[in-house]
Amino acid sequence: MLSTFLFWFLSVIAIAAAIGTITARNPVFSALSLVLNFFALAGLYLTLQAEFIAVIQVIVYAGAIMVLFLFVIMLLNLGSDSKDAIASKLQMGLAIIAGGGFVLMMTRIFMIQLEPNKKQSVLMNGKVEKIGEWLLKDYVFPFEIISVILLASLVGAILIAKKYKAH
Amino acid sequence: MNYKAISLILESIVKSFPYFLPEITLSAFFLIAIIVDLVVGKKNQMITPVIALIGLAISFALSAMQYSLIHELMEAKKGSALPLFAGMLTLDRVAVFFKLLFVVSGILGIALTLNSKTAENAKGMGEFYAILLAVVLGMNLMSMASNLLMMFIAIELVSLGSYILVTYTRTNPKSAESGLKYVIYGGVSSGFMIYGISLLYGFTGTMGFNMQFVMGLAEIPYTVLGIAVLMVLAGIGYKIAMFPFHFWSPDVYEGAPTPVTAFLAVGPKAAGFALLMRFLLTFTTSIKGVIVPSLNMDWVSIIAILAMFSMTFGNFSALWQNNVKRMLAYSSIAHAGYMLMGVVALSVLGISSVMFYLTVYLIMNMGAFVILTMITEKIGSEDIRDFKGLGYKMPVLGACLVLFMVSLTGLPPTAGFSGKLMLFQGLYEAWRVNPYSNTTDILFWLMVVGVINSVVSLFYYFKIPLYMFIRENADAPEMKLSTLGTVLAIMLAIPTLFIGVSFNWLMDFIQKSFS
Repeated sequence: MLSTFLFWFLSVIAIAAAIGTITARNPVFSALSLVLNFFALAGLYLTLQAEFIAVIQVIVYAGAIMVLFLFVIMLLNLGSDSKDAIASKLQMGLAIIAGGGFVLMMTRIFMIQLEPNKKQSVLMNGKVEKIGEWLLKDYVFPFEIISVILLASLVGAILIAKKYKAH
Repeated sequence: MNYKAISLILESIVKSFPYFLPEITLSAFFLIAIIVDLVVGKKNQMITPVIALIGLAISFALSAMQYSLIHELMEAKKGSALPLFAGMLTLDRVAVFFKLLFVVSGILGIALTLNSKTAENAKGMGEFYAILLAVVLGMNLMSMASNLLMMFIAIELVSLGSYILVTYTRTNPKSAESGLKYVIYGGVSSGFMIYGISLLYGFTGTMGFNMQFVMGLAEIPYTVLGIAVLMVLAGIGYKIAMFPFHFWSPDVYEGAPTPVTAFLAVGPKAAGFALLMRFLLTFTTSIKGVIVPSLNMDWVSIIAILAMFSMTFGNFSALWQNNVKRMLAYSSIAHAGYMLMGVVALSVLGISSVMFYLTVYLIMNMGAFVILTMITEKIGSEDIRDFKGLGYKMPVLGACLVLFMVSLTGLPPTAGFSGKLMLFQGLYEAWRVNPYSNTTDILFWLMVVGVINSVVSLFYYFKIPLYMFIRENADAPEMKLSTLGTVLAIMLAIPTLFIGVSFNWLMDFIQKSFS
């Protein structure tokens, strides 16, 4: 009963915040509604017993990434969006097609009856202990490869951001 | 907690290391190149490229040795594919072949860079070579990945490295712009891909390409599965520049430093094909040596239609281009379409013809780019119309360039012709043997479209010889070109001609991977 109530409550917030993000004229307001959306999503993850991803959602997205967004918006001192930036007809059409496809797919997915034991195994994988175990057991290799990705991107980011003397 | 199970997994991981030496070498040299460049890179410009070349050479030798390693396994009747790191990677001879191809493309990429003026527009080239090693490592992983997560991580490693290489000459605004476009398109397609992967994981409860995966998907309705697989294909299609995920390629090819363009057109595309084939073959079963799709989803038709669009779109857009690099970008989209014909054929012959064509494509495309880099840097323009009369100023290289263009078109007696012959043969056999009746028509039409497109491509490839040799230009500049570039071009021209005349040895070598 409580979980149903939480689901609807958080979903409404998430959708309202998402709509706020794309309709707000002021970029700061837009970014802040995105933060709200992230928090609502984190709550939804918690109701699914995916504690780890909920915490990561708050720390990484709502925390680090959105702070970066806000910094950039404030540093660039963006004003309110002008009126002609409203989506073109083509964009609207594409959005409707994409949205329709998404709805179609979701209705079909809800019709699938997964076996209960498979459902349970997917749910169990959201636990922090389980993720830690996976990361140091079966997935230790991809985990290590990510370090190469991070190093390469670090080097690249420094290269691109470095001050440059023009010839 | 089950300690015995943990120790078993750890043991299997430790045992995987001897089969992972080429990649360990690449990672080690990636680190060495960064550190050496920091310490002595300023004084000695040549040290990092030399280190990178040594790393690639060692990795090449170690990969070649894996052929005999797998042979020993087969002697001991342990199968021809080796799962590594708890099933994250699969080492088989197809992967080894691709790994050799990647290392060669890396070596040629470095040679091209050394022979170009890329360094003049960049602040120190040390990291360039280090990142290139990381990209080759990523491509190696792509060719071996047999797990959805591993697949994604390998693609990301290649993508992030490529973004950096494309943006490397940041003083050139075009390079910066193309880098940004590449990142945005790449981010979107990665997003699609990871969403598709999450759906597939949700359906099956596993990420490995194994029986549980395929069985889990069998219960999933057609539409949902189709959307999920298409989303994963968006990520791979982006790497091979397949329609409709190709939008980045003309801008990126034009803006990137030319050696990087040459490398991107060959290396990541080959890696994408390696991954695409491994991913799609998961959804097939082999019945008496004939490969048949095992799901009720008709992905063969989907790929066939995308192949037709890739060819047609690539070739017809290339007709209107006057910028050489843009033209070759559209041509690479068309070539992705041709190679998809081999994937669609879904047979040993089809897959080996894709591997054959990728080898040929590596040689001829790199050759064309070696010469075009030298010409465009000399005359300071990428417009074909500025090539007027240049052919007589550089007869040897001019002739080589014509040879590469003939090969890219697919005319005899060049490697491009034998490559295309193999692809068409593979598709023809698939259409004739007809293991799955409902897709026959589409295979036939794919062949027709392929033939028409080969004719269309003649018109733009021959623009280059037309301007270089036939249009006269009294005041064409003197072309004094570097020895390294000339040697490279001739070294690539010889196999282009040789494989055109005698190609059975290469095809036999490739087909051994399946025996």
